[in-house]
Amino acid sequence: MIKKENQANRKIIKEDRIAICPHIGCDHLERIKPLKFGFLGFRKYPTCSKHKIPLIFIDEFIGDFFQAVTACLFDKSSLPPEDLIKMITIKAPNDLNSFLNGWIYANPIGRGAQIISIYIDDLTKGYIKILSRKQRKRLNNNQVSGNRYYMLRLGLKKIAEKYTIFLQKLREYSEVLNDMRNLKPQSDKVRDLLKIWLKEDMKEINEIIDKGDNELLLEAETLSVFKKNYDKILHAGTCAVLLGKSPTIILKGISSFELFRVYNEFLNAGLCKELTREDISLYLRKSEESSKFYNKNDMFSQIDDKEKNIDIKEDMIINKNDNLKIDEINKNSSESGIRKFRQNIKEQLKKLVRLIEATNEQKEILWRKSLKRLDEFVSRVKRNEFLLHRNKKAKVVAATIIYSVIVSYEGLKNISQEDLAEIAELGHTSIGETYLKYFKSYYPRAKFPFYSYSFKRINKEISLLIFNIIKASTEIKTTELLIILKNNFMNERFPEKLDESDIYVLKRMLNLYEDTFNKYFSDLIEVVKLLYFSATNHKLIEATIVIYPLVEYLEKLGINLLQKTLTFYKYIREIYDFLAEKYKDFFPERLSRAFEEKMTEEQYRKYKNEYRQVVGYKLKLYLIKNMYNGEFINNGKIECSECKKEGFRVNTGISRLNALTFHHLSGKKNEIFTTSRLYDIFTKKQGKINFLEEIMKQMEAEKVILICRAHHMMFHDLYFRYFKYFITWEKLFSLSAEEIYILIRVIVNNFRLTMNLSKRRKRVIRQRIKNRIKKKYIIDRIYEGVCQTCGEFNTKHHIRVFDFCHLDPEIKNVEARTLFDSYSCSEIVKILKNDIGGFICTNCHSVLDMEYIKVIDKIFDNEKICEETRKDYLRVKKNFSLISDEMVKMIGNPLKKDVVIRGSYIKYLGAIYKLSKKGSVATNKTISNLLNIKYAGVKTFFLRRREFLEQYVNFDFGRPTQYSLNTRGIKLVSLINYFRNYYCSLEFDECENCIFNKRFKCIATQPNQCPIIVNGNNLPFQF
Amino acid sequence: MEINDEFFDDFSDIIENISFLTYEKDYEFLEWYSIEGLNKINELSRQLQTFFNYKAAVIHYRFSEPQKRDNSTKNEHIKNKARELSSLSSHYIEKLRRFGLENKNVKERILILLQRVKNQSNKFELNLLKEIKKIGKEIWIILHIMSKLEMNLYPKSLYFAVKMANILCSSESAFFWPFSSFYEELKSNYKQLEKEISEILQKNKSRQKKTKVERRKEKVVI
Repeated sequence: MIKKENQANRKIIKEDRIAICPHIGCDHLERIKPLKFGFLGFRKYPTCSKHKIPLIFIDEFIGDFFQAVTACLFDKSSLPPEDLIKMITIKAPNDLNSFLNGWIYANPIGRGAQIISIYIDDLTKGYIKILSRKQRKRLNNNQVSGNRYYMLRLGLKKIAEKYTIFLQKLREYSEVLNDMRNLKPQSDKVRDLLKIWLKEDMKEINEIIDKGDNELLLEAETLSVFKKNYDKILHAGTCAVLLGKSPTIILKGISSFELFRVYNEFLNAGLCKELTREDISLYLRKSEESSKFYNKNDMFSQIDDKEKNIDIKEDMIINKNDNLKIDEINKNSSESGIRKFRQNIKEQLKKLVRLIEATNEQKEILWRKSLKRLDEFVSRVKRNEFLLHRNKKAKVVAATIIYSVIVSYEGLKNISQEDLAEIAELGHTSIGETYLKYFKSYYPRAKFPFYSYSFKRINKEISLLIFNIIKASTEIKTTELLIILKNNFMNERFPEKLDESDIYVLKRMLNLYEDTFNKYFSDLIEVVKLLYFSATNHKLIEATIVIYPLVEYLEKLGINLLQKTLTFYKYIREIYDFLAEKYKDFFPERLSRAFEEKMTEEQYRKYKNEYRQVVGYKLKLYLIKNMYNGEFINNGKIECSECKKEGFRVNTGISRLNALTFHHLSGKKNEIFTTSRLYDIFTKKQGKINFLEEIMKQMEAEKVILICRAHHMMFHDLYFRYFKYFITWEKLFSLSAEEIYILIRVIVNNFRLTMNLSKRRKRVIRQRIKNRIKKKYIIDRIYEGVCQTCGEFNTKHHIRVFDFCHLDPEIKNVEARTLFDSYSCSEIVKILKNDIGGFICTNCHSVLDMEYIKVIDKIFDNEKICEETRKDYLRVKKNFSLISDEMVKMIGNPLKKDVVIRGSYIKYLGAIYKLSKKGSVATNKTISNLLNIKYAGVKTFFLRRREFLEQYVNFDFGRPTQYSLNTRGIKLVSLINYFRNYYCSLEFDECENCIFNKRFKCIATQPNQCPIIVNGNNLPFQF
Repeated sequence: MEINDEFFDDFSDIIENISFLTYEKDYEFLEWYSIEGLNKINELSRQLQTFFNYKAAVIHYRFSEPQKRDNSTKNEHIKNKARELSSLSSHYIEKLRRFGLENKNVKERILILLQRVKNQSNKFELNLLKEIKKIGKEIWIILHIMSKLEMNLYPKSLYFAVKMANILCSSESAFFWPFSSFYEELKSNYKQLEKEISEILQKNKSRQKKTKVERRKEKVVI
């Protein structure tokens, strides 16, 4: 319906305006000119040539369009359809609220909000196009004077206004209708239901779309029926959105013109009603009430029938006469009897299929296959192929048919005979018996029934056979071995010790379940291969073998002998024991405690951890002994080369195996070789025959050397390496905290590897230097600068190696290293005193590792080494002294400053020094000129920091104020200059021949150009 | 400061927008339209489309199955666009900050600046405003393109895009005065959307954490 006042009328307009056909989607646009003298001219009321309806001014029309859009997006009919809500109410009543909430939320997008702009875009483009070239040119060139083209431009303004109003409405509706706090993703159950509903709905929608509007309109008796078809499509869109998809049906199925045109008509016909919050609440209440009703009246069957798409009518009455005897059918064999017999079983089947827990797709398959089997069964009955037991019930036959489908079809959920019997309320054996008698030969099991046969002897004998073949030729492939086995069995050549029942199993497996045979025996070959190689490797490193890690490793590779973990473990254990008995010298001893003693999870975890350690250490020991042809062993002794250089005696030797580590000399580092990592590599690659040789080759290629943990740490502590001179400078603690901070700034700003870093990185580096100074101060004060237990490592050369060792590692409240960033020295010591422990070097710390001490007997066969290790442990423990109250009192705070130190101090002090050296007077003005800083800045600096600066600078009276350095100031400036020069010219061995080192200045711009960075791992700096 | 002709060349496209500040009648719009209306009116429908696309992406993300969400294939195109957006955005925000613009008062500040530029002819500020406008335009183009891609698979980028659109709406509402209310309204809608995504992201994050902890527990048990 077009309002009369909106109709385009040439009589009333005074200048050009643009009008459009109000039929949404029609692209008829026209520029309407006023009549000459208000009455001369034709087509006073212009109409659309296609639709024969009066045109309407575009600015009036755009409002109607948005009205139609709002009506479509927020119509009351946008609430979920009844059939869907019914499904949700019955199947997932708890999810009803969240479903409804989600539905309302998804509605605008689901109902095609995205396509609005396409139409509007066309409309505005059309509007512009319809203007004459002259009009467009004049408008563009700003040649408009006064109110010329006022109406044309006003049209565009109105379009913009309507957009704004629409956006506003959209937001308001969203705020009112959506309950954002309770918006949750749909549950799996609801998602399944939505999928089913959408599938059904789409069938109908496709029919609707195929028919087209005109045909549908003819079919629909009223406009409201027609509207329902559109709502159906829009509901599908919302449903798709709720499933996380795009509403393709809306975006691609209907054009925007079409959708909003019809909604415009529905709106005009009064079929649209605005959706309100009350409507939603009412709807929810109603649905909840009906949910209670459904639960009471068990309407499940009705819904189920629809879901499953099974050919069952709702009003079908289930025949209660379950006791119809099958032998009656045989006896009478009349057509009606057979029909009745079939009907009875069919109804039982229907009942059972409903009761079984499975997905709807599975139920559908089950139902169809069962019906087919029922027909086959009936035809066999007709042919008198077998005699039926007199008391056989229809229910038993139905349950057996279902069982036969389940066992012979792999895509279905596995249900045991017992479970099925329970569902059907039958005796436990009845299904099995009936299956064996009437169905097994026709429908054998899809899966080989492992549980029916014993594989103990088969596994052992065939493993022995495989083991012998592998022993003769280690490089034989699994497939080749499998073919050998198959050929032997096909030619009736079985291991002698297998009896008839075993041979029957093997033959049955080979003939009926060839895939299972292939999988089982290829797995068995892999198992035996792994046992062979793993035993070899374990024997080499002199470690005992544990089966369970092997099981875990094999299962990760998908090898499981088609068994569950525990059975698989049992099989491997049996095979291992059998083979180990036959070849005692070849197989190492097996630890068999894990499952046989029924460990608790906690115990098993500990046990596994222990085993991990033992194998890791054994492997480490093996590698140390054999790498570089035994180069690490000197006269039977294993030593850290760096300790040897420094002449250390305690910190070297095999008894400190825990403290020995592998260090990469080359920059190439593909793998780290810690004890636990070595175990991981071993578990992963133990199935390889040359695993140990390979790993040794890899380590040699990466130039791995053996050093102690402490020296390893020192290699990587580049902060200490670069700033060692400053950190260990003897007079450092005679300076005030502020002076130390100033000097730290100087060294970081002048050392060529750190000078060009970002402010943030420099701050981090300064912090690291401060931390080391704090640590050095504490250890110097408490332990006189050396490790209290070994007396070898000291703070002058090895500050990084000192660890805080807790007396009882179980009671560990703080991580000592985290304290240095934020606490002063005295605070750190106080905190650590409460945590009970003391600082010792990392090597001695590793000696106190209880886990290591516990397993030394298992690592070393040599009792002498074990004894030595224990003695070392006792000695360290004896010398270890805790932080005491007296020690706390000894600690001051050499790094606790009162003033925030910035770079400007260095600058200003330097400026005064320079000026005085030149013989000039240092005033605000001269300093400002020298440093190229504003005068006011200099003045403020001295004014604000006077209190602190007075320690170093004399503020002479008079105007202007003259500044001169006092003795302390001169001392500080000379220290600044000293450390600046030192760090500007600092070079390392690597720099000597470096091509980027030009006269004390590094010109390297890439990390790979710097020899220090290339060789140093974990470099703390970046270019 | 001496003002020459060249100065006005630079000034022209900014002055166009601020000329409306002093009038309050319909022909302000008409005047404006004569300058850039033809292009800008189409921009509005594109803005609407982009907004709906982002809204659809948020809904998809909210309701899609978590497994699908996690196993999504990597889309290099989206990644590139997201990278472009991120670099342009940081550039844009940096420019805004030069004016001391905070998120809350972007519109007001730009309006004041426009007025000041008009009255005092400060070339530096003028250039900065021009740059902000230019970068804003480039960002919108990326946002339009991104909205048509599968943004629901990249929730963080989606969040960032919506957040950026929100900021841009503030400045656009100042620059394009005739559409001020439109952009204001669009901004409110984007704000609502931004809140939604941030909530979903928060929830998913805590869910992921939970699963991680559960997995860790499982590992320990094994």
